[in-house]
Amino acid sequence: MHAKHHVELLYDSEATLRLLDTAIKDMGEFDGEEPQSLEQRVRAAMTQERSTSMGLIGLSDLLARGYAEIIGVLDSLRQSRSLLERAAVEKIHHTHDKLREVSNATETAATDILNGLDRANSMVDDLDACAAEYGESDDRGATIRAALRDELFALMGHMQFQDITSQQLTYASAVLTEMEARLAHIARVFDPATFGAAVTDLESAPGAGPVTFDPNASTQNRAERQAVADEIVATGASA
Amino acid sequence: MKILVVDDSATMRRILVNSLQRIGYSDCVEAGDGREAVDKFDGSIQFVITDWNMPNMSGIDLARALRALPEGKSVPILMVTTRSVKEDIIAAVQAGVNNYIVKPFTPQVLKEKIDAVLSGVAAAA
Repeated sequence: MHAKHHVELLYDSEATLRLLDTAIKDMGEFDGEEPQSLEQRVRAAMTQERSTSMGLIGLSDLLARGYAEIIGVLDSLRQSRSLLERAAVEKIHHTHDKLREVSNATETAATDILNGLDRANSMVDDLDACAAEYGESDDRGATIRAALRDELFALMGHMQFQDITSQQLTYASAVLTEMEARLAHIARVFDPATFGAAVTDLESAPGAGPVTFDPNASTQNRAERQAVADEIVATGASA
Repeated sequence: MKILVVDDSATMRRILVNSLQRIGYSDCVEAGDGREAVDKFDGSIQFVITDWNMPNMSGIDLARALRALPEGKSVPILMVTTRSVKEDIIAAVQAGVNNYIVKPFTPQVLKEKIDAVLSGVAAAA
């Protein structure tokens, strides 16, 4: 039993060594070199084996590093998107609200000033009535009252600044609204959850309604701009 | 003369009405936009002063709408607006606006333009 087992073991060992020798030869050929001895062949094979394994390990490392890089980029995009959303939703909304507040405050102030001017005009009327009732020694009072009335009327005309600045503020507000829409669009593009999905075209987004402001509204160069209008009107729009 | 004053800014309407009263026109009707102006426009309105940029219906659309009405074909229209781009002014005149004032205006300019429009209408009649 034992003798038979030893024979089988010797036979298997020989077969294994032959296979190993063949494998070492194959590996040597793969390396492109012709080792001189079995020891050299084994060393070369081990080196080759190690280098092949190292290649696979290297690829695995490379993939792991690539994956980490991709995760890092996605995280950065997520953070950028968060910043964009915060900028769009919080800061622009806040600025928008502030502009509206300034516009409303200016309108309220303008109304109050106009009311005050009306009351002041009524007082000048009262002075006129008093002068008519009690008489005046000369016309200096009447002259001053007329000048005062002119001043009050001129002040009322200056209140046109409110309409013009209101349009400028509305324009600034509209620019912010557009910027908000664009930032929201970019945030959607950077959303890792929707990568590859079709993003709504910014141009097809719903508009902000009819334009109720002039983006070029200005209190400057009124005379020059009026001259242009006068020229066109005079030529019947053929200019 | 009954004047229809159209502007979405209450401040501007008030300034215009005060200026008109100052130069002798005290019969004024106010409207906040073009649509309201069309609603208020009837045979009694003899002159229209309108802004350009307004909600619902702009001043230029109001001019076109009035010119399309039988009673609005010859009513004088004066545009008072911040818009001073050449193309805009040409478009306004082509839409039927008789004269054009760039804001901010002075009462003197307002009077001059009203007088010019009225004299032009009288000459054409």
